[in-house]
Amino acid sequence: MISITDLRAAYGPLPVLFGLDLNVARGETLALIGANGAGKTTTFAVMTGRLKPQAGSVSVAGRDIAGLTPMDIVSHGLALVPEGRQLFPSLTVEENLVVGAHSRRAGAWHLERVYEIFPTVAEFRKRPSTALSGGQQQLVAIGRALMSNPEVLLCDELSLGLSPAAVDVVYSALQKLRGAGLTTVIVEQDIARALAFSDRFACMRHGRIVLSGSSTAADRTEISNAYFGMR
Amino acid sequence: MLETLINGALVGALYGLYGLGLSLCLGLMRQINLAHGDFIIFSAFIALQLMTHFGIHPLLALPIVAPIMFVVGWLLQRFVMERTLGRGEMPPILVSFGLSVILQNVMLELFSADTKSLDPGALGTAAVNLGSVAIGVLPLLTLAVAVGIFALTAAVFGSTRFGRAVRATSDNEAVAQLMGIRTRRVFANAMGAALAISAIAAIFYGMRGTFDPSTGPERMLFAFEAVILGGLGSIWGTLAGGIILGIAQAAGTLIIPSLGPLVGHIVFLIGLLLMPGGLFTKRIRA
Amino acid sequence: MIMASPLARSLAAVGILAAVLLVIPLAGSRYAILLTTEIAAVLSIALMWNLLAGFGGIVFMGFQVFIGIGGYTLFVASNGLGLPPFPFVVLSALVCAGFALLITPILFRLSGAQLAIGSWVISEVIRLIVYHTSALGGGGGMALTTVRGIDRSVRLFATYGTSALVLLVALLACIALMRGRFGLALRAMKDSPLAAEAMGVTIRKTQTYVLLVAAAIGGAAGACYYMVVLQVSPTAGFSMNWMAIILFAVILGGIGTLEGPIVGVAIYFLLRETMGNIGSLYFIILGLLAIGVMLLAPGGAWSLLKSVIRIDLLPIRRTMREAGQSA
Repeated sequence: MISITDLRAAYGPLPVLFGLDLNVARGETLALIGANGAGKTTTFAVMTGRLKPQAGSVSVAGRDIAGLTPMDIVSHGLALVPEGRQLFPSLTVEENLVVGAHSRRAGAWHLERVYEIFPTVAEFRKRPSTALSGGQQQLVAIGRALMSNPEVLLCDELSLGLSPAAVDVVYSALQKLRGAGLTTVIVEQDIARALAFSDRFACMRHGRIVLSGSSTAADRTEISNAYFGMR
Repeated sequence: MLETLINGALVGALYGLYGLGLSLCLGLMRQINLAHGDFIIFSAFIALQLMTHFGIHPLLALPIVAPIMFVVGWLLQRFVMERTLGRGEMPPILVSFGLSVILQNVMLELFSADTKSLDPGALGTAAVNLGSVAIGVLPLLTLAVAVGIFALTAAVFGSTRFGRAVRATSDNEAVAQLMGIRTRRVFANAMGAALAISAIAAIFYGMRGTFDPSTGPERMLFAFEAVILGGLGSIWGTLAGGIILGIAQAAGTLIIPSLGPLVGHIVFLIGLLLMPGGLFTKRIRA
Repeated sequence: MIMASPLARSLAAVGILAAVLLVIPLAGSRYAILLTTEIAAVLSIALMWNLLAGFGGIVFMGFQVFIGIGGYTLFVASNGLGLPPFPFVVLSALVCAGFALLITPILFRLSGAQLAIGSWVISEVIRLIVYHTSALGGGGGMALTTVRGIDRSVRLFATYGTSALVLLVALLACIALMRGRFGLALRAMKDSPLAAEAMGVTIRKTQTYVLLVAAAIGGAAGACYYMVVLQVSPTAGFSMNWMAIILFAVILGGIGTLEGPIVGVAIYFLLRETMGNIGSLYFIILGLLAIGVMLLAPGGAWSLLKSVIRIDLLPIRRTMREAGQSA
């Protein structure tokens, strides 16, 4: 479904990705883990069109999307749940969800279906998005991404800034999506959480994948070594 | 005296319309345009040209001038103001100020410094009697048109897909793009709308008073005062702010005929001191 | 290029300028002296506006309020007391600083573009008040009557000297403020108010301080300008044209640097002297130039020059000293 080959990217003169190779099968959930600065968010930035890569390719369902604008990428079926939620403060909860459907991409997701999956969000539908707790906002952010009828869902640091209880709520809500056929990539600081939730994992270090494999068969020591770069 | 104050309130509706265009820029798009008043005057001059060459009534020039100014606004945003974004607060201020100077002098070259007005014909002198006061039909029409435009604007920016897109873009452009919003186009359209609204205001302004190339900046100050008094981010607040300003100025004229604007400014400054957020504070920032 | 310390280079540059200012009245024509007096006043004003905006981040669109108040204070004091006007520039400075302090509560309710327009409103208020005050000459303004008793040559040199002195004070003030701890604080504040606050810099106090200095020296310069013109009126003294001149000079020269306004004012006067009589076309060209610079070369003429010549004449940037290099 997602195929990234030899991706190189930089922020101005500062190179971050040094030949990233990554494949995600259709319907699979992949956890992208790695220390700060490893290049996880940069990978998402390239995939969502925020950053133009210097070399390499990114394709989704066979279509090459590297270098397209974020607007075009959304219509190709890629949606992002941004780090820190980043809901629109001037819009109500419902408006935040509706604006997610701005690209008018055809699909099965609509407002009522989102409210079905996240009933607590439905209660707050007319309130300004800033009135919600962090965990609630995270659900809205996920719902907003779903409204664009994506085939691929990217989740950036879902647990950041949330209490453990709130993170439980978010992940159990996300669990409901498992059967929906979405291909999901999550970037997650909490390794245990990441491995528990995903089918496969990929560990990044210095802009490259250094270890990958099945999440259930994952060896903790191997992962720590890869994560921290120890032999 | 009551008549003066009521007329002041009606002028205030016009100030509200000046402010609406600026409110869209400043409040919604979070962008400044110091040439705002000069574009109003420019619209009035275009209307005047149409009237002189085709012999039409100013209200008939309105549906021609408004779309023209929409295009002007669109181009302005897309090719000039767009380039000033993302580098801090100074470039938009300075570039729009430069634009203001250019516009004033271009109008000076083309139309001379003579004061002009848009002859409304019989509409200008018609009046109705409400009890003991006589109110002009034109001011009442201005109020009606203003309320109508405000309602339309509030509806468009509050409930439509386009309106949501503008609000989302002004909150967070990067994430708005992730929603598929073509942010540049959206802002260009919003700017076009702002200038089209200002064009409508210009025609009513020209019908009730005189204008010349140098009267732009003062309109911008009134627009600004209406927006801030009403509360940045609140569309209807701008109308309220404009009406308050109009009444304040009218009160000033009761003291000395030329004292209107000064009293308006002072009321604005006092209002700013006492209610910094304006009447209807609405802006929630991330 | 000599590797003297940045501070020494700044002071040396000011020294050279002072020398130039000293030579002009000795060698120059009457016209040259008058023009230099005017240039010195306008440059002081531009430097002060640049200090406020470029370093302090306060875009004060109504700066002409200080110019007008400065002019009127000088005229009123000089005429009222029947004394020669020259020392009263100090009074102009003090009155302007006092006025600046007075408006800070209102001014600081706003920020950014709103502060810019708000300051413009304040300037309009003063203009209209003066316009309606017959004691100040109303719309017609005032003439500086006390100069009539002074010999023309004395008047010429005294006005020149006062204006030159104000310019030197302006330059030294800029260097002192910008190089010191204060300057760092200002720049930190401008880049990120939150970060500056966290570092213990009291934003309000710093901004107020800069405003007072800029107002005072700007007011003194305004007084000098109107000492040359001999007439001050609300339309002229509080005119938006002042902002146009300041902005064009500062933009064309390069905002935020010390040399920028100097280069910009030079360009402005060069253009004026060579094409000033083509009327409104002149302003259209200036406006287009300013917009062009803002969009294409935001560092202005000075940054273009610098990239060619590669020096900082009046450097205000702090750089880390390499190990072993002396101060």
